[in-house]
Amino acid sequence: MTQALTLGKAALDRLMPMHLCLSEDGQIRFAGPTMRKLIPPDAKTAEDVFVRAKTAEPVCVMDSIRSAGAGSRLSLRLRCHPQTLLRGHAVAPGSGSLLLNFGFRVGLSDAVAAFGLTESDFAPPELALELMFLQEANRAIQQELARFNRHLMLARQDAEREAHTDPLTAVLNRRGLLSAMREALDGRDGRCFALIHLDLDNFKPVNDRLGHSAGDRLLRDVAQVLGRVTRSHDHVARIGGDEFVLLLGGSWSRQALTGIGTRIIEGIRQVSPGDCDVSASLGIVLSAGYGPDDIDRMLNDADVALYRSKRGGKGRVSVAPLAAAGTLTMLPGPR
Amino acid sequence: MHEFASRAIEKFLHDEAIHRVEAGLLSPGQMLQDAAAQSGKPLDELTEDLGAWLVQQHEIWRLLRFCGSDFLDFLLHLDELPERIRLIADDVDVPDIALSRSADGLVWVTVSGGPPGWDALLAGLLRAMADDYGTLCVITRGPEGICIDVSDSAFAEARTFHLSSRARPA
Repeated sequence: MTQALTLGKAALDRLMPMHLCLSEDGQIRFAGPTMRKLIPPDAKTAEDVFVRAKTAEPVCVMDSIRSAGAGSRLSLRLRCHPQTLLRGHAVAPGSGSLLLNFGFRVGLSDAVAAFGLTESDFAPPELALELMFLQEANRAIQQELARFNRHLMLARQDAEREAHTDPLTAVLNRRGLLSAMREALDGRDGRCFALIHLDLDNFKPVNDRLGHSAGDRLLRDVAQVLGRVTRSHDHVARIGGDEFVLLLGGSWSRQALTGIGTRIIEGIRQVSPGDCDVSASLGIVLSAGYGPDDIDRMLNDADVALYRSKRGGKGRVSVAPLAAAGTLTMLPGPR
Repeated sequence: MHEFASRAIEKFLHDEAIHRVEAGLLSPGQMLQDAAAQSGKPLDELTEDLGAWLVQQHEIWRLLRFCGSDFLDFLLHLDELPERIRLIADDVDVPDIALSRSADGLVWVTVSGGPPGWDALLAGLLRAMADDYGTLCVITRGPEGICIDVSDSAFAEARTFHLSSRARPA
């Protein structure tokens, strides 16, 4: 029994829908049904159909095909659609002709879109449909993962914001203040700012006489007063019961700070409930001379200035000396 | 993959207007059980609805249509579905799906292993896919499996499917 058989065109079409049969000189003799969809109707020769896969290759198309006849892989691009790369091989079944068979490579889905190919254009053993299935599944999963990631990122942002916010007054809490100070003291930016430490005077009687809800309401009112005297890029924080800290960006003169301090004290007096006579004592520090590691020292210096105001008779503003040297100066209260 | 299943069920329940299930905290199976208890619908029926709903999701619909050129082709390759699912994600608990054909031409689908409810899910999915392919058939689910009686493969026009998601609508 001879191990040879003769296949008719119909059998070839079904087995290898992307075959192309060439005569020895490169004339197209016939092509499989899928191949016919890829080549121009008036194509006469292999050169009309293909261009070299890499322009750097010195040989012409027919030379590539002939050398593939010796058993190597054949890579070619379609002349009419050069982004489509085909891989195949060639055999010489005798009578001087060359039989080529091709498949798509990773550009498969582009080719399917460009030539409107369908399932019936692929021979059953080909993995083309599975490749497209995987590609779409992959894309769908990536979209879902991106959605998960977005969701997680937003949740993290919310959690971060919450961790930095005082739930009662919606201004920053101590953690939020520290992070704002760290950023402001960061050597690379080197921005100047003023830090105002503020403690309410006569707050305890509000809680004792009017109840804690009145105390809470007052704290919210104070936060609003502080919000009004600050700009959007300044920071307001509540760091304890009735203690607030303001971080005001920019270079400040003592006069300007005293003016702001006076306005704050006036504003707080206006929201003081009943005859409780609530006011505030302020201690101010300028950022000059403090570095990124001096957050605690700066807060402490502001605290010292604040207590000087308290001891001086409340309702006053004290500006600490520059971090380098000098003594504390107390400015007269607005009273 | 657990998250994807939960997410799908969450979306499904949202579309079904069953809102009071604690999505994200429960396992997918528990979510469905709670939703069934809440809506008064039998769990099997709700799971069938989920199967049909999956077919309506564009990305999933496309992946399903890759599995068969017509409904009978799809049905007779249903036993490849677990392999296909594992191709995408290998941490899913998928049952084995077996097919048989009785002498009277009925196709039987039996599901073994995997979490409960897959038979109902598949029955709902098959019903929606038959509709999608324009095939008239009777699908019944019983203790021996799902029985499909395909009576008219060309009952209606199949929904147009292009291999390429970028193909221009014909």
